[in-house]
Amino acid sequence: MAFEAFFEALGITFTLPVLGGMLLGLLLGLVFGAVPGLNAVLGIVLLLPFVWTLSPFVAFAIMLSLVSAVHTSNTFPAFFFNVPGSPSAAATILDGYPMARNGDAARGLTAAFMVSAVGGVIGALVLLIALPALQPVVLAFAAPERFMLVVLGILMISFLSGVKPVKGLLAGALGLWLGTVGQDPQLGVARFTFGSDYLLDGLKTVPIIMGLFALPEVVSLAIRGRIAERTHVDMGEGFRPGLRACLLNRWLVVRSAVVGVVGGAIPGIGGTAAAFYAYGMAVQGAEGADRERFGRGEIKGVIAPESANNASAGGELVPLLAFGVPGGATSAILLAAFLILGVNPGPEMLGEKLSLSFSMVIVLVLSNLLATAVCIAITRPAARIAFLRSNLLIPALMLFVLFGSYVAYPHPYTLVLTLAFGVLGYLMMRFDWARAPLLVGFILGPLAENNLAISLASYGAAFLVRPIPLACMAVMALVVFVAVRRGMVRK
Amino acid sequence: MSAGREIALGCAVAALFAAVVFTAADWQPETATFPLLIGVTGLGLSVWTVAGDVLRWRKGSGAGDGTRAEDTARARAAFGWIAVFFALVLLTGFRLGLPLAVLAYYRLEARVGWVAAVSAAVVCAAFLHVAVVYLYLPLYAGVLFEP
Repeated sequence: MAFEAFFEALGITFTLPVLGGMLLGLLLGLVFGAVPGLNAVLGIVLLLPFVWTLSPFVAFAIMLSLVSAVHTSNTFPAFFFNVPGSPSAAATILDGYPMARNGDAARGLTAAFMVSAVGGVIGALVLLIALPALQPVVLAFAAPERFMLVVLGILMISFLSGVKPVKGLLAGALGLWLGTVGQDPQLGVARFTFGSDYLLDGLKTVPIIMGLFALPEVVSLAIRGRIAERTHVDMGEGFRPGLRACLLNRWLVVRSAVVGVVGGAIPGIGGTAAAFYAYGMAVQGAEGADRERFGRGEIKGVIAPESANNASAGGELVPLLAFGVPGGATSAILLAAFLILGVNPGPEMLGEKLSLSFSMVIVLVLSNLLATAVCIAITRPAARIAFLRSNLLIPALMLFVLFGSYVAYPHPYTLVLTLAFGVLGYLMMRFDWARAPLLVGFILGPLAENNLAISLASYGAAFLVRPIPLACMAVMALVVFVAVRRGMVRK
Repeated sequence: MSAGREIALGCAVAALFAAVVFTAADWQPETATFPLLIGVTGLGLSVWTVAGDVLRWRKGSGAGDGTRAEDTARARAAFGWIAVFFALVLLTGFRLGLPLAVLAYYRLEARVGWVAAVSAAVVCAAFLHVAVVYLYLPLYAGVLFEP
């Protein structure tokens, strides 16, 4: 069955609409990665209102190639301006910027792009292997297990994705509450609608995402002003030296990719943290004078995080496709895209929709390779991003936010809702409250409520002592312990 | 000052969860179980958060959010412009309000030349025209023009 699905996916992926979608996503991703302030989350958020009428194969080709391209092209600003194109490139700055200052940018960038492709392909291959292997595990999950898994997912994202874990958890609770607005699924009683017909169907996903994620980015761009002040970048020579560096450090590339996949697959860790782990691992692996070169333009300090952050994209899809639990903000929005497109992550993605899952793997591989080729080709012209004024982008973003929210749910209140969530999103960003847990809570809340109702009706409170719920609770205790310990170390 | 705002945000969230618990307490068990579970958890967490923030503030270790005055001014201006975009669309609809807002932003805030600003507004108007005429997307006509 898995082989049949794989060949079906190959056939569908190599059709004009899917390849065209991939190309579109790739181009958008290159821009969203290369311009600081724009990122993969914002890119997918702005795409959401436009993809919901497309076939899921085309829609995910656009979105996943956007994510892959962002993970690759975000290296440019890390090298040129000491600013990560998106958060997952933050670790690349440590040695990327010094390399550029030393006139070694071309070698570093070439190496970074090549290992990004290798990392991305490794992440996709792990996903390819994991999907059929996880099928029996996923099918063993009934309502109690699904409920506990949702709670575990929210807890992990809340505790591990922000600097203030309790506030992350509070954001998760807020999201769960927002998910209860509308008619109660069992009796149809209106909850928290304040007598408004607009709220009877519940709060709408797209305006919430636009408000929470896109509007605060508009404010951030306005605060940033000009993207970078530098006017000249020494590129140096280095296609062949870059390639040689990759080959010499091949095991570091593979090790970092594995770190990236694991980091991506654990909800709440994600690509940014995985890139720093990989960087730390590269430092630990170096000795003497080699170790002292880190932070001053050491190429291993670029190779490790770049391999890890691209590999994390494949890793993030493992829990999302298998259990419907997102690994971070990007996959939380992908989860919303799944629901908008009428696709349910979980057993369906490993059964009747396995070909869609395999198509995603193929898109990840192709888009990583293509993004690398394009980035190597445009390395020199990309340095001109320095001259761009970020406030020139704001009207375009506002157009897509307003248009996208309204088209998704045509009602004037939708605009008010978007603005209200924009204010909330900005306040959360300003006071370091993680926004991803709120979104995950909102999306998974109805699923959690349904599974809790079924579990209570079928087993009473005894559902908590089934093996998998018990294991989930043990993991929750471990997560809380780790978060508390981390907080104590920070103090 | 910003520590006070963070405490205020925490208090607002606590009040919200208290209202959730208070409201859900009147419903039947099938309707109320999940909101009550969330409400009680959220209330506990928000009280914990506010208490922590107040303690830090009293100890004087609330370092604030590190926002510079210049950044605050820029953030306020950005929110002002966001409000202008929303208000113009709500009042005069997408097809008039959005190009107007784009033109105003480019001229007054980004300070680009008339040719570039008008061109951007025309591109915006053309995009919306295509959306309405060729894609049949229903765009809001605004409070002033809605029949």
